[in-house]
Amino acid sequence: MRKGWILLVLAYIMLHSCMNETELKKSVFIYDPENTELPAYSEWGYNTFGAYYDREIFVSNNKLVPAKILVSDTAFSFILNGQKSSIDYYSNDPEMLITFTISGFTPQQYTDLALLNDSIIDLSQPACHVFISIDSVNCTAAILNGELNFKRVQLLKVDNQQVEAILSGYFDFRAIIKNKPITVSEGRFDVGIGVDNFYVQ
Amino acid sequence: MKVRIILIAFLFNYCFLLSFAQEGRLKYLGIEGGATFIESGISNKDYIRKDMSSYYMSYSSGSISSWSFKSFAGIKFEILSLNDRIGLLGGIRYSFINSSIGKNDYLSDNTDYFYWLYKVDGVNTEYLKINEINQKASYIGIPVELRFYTAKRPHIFQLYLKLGAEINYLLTSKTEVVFNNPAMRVYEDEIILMLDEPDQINGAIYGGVGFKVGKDQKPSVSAEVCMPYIPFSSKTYGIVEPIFGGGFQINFQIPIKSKVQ
Repeated sequence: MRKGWILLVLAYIMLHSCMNETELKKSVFIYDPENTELPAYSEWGYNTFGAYYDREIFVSNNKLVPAKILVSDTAFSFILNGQKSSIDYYSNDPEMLITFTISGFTPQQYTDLALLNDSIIDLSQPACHVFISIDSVNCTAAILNGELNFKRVQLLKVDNQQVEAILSGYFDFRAIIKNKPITVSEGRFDVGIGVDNFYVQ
Repeated sequence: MKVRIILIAFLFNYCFLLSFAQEGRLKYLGIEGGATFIESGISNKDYIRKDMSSYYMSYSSGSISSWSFKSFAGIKFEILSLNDRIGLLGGIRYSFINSSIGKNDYLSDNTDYFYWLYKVDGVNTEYLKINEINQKASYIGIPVELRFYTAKRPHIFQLYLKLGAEINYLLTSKTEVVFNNPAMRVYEDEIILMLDEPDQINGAIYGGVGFKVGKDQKPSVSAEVCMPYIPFSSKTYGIVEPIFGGGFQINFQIPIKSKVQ
């Protein structure tokens, strides 16, 4: 009888520990009081990002997974996936991706992303590539100058269970895209990367 | 120490009211009881991860709510002015405040817990899932109130406006945390250490409107709607920051001097 109770308690604890943290995957969009179309910078894993794309807005939404990590043999890619122009939930604004690919760093699991903590990557160096996709039209950005700043990386445990890595930071760059100079400014991100959005090729 | 404070509070009131107790004034002794619901903010917001409310169709955050509920009982004297239009009341009051922080989102797609930032150690960050934080505090206090009667006695039914203030001294305080995963209860003491405790002293001013029913110079009952209830400081309630409140109060009074014309 006593063993039964112990098993029941253990099963309950295991069930809790196996629960997927769906609440953490939702986006919590808190507006920046200064750049009012963008999310405020945060380090809570709110799953939001935003930046000015010249005078337009590149921002996360509730429909798309805001960030993914894709690792190949030689490089890793940090992909921000959202929309251009509007933050309206039901808008038909075009889908937009910015992919930062950095050679020489190949994390094998999301916890390895902790190595990026407090690191600034110069996007103009040859090891870095930035790709932009707007409404499924892909192009490469020829970076003139810019930075990707992983200001803080946290390995997050919830109720003692490792659940994800939170990547928080800033980005901005100036580039030639389709023969036009474009400025991406005031970029900020606060996204969770777990087993669901960490891919190794 | 607490007994001494109770005695001082009682003595203060007795002397205060005695100073007005001249011959010819009508006096009452009564018991009171009531409750106040206090709209409150969250004191320890920095530890709480915000979430998205499903009440709104667009982006928003903050379905975590906080509130305070105060219930009280006490003994009060009342002395009427010579024209019977103003009553001065004072006494001693025991009050119990239950403050709570929790998820208040009744739509089904949201969970009933929130994330509490428990520990940061280098790149490691730990959240705990918490359903509720409750803080219970009891106080002994001194209420002082003025009643402005709209009509001169004798009337069986009398309307009045009220203005009051109270100062309360903390007697006991207890905080409890309800975890989403009961196995996390081992962290309860550490979470409680991160939370604000109620101050030793708090106070408020309040207004209200009420009516008194009873034959002249006979036992009477009065009922009041107390609003607004405005705490002196928002930083004295512990886990919540009170903004304003409203409630009700019931009094039962008996005359202690009946030879009044």
